[in-house]
Amino acid sequence: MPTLIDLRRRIQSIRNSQQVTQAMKTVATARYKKAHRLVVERRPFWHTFPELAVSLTRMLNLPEHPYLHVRRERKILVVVITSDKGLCGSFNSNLLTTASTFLEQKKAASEILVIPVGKKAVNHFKRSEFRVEKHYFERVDKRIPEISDELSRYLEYQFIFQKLDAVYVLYNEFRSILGPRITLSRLLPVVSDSGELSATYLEPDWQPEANRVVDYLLKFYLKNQLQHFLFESQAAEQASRMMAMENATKNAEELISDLVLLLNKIRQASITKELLEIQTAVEAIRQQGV
Amino acid sequence: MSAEIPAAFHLRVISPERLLVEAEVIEVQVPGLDGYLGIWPGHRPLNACLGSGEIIYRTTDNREEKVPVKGGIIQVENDRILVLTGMGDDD
Repeated sequence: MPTLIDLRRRIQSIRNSQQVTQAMKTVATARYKKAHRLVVERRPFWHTFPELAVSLTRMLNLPEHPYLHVRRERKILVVVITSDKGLCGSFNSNLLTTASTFLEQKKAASEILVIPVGKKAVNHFKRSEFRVEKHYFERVDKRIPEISDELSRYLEYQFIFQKLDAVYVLYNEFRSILGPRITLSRLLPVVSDSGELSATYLEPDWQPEANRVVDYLLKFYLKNQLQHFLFESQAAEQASRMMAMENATKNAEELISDLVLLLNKIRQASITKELLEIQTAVEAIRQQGV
Repeated sequence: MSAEIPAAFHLRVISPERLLVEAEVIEVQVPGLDGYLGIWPGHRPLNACLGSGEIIYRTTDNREEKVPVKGGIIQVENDRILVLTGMGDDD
């Protein structure tokens, strides 16, 4: 049975941890609110942009366009987006598990390159068999425009000159605070929906020529999509951290109340024991008849 | 054919930061690359690049409103107009 002093120390140390998790939760909540607002405001653009790209390219039917050119996947690149920091529950580990499964599947047919984003992914792929082409970590959340700009230029170049045959992105999409959704998205070639055009379809006017309109749109496609994925991941990260810290605080509370109960029981028991001893002594003295 | 012409358009103007306009409109003018384009209900499908200027639109309750844009793309389909703008200048 633990002594009172041990128990008091343990309770105190759990209280200290609880204060830390509480503070981290507060910080995560503030960041989450900001990230969440941004995601909600920008989603209309993020979602319409690819839709428009698909609908315009479908009208044109340009299988040879550098962005739309579908070829056999001899060499593919996978961008894996995680967070820089931990303490956000299963946010990173779930994503990295999914990444491993995906890479194992693709390994047989294609040569695989990886670009990890976020310290957790960088560390994970350092020890893996896959070739890491580039990596981004430290303050990723502050450098999203810069990173998406540089990465999109790199990917564009590699894809257009056929050094890569496909680019995938694996990231946590923000769904709700209860948990993110792991999403795998093919960034390149741009998916061109080849569905039938409806019967009432009217050949649209283009101004300027169709190719130039599509080029103008696709010029921003990569960067826009990468930004979208990075911001989604960030909002999801903050939400996960908020939930993880909330749970930790709650668990600490439970642990403390259990320990306090135990502490009181032991204290009570020792008081009872002492009382008994005193009582016994008093009885003994009385019986000796002093 | 004329019976099929819708009375109004659904106009959406979206920038990377947020949804700028979502409204039912009866007339829209947008800055094309070679000057303003006027679009009325029943306009044939159009995809165009935009220059800089203001999108001027008249809502179904006859209010005229303006929103500035800098570059972008407009897509006109039967009864809806979609404008994406400001792609290049987000940072």
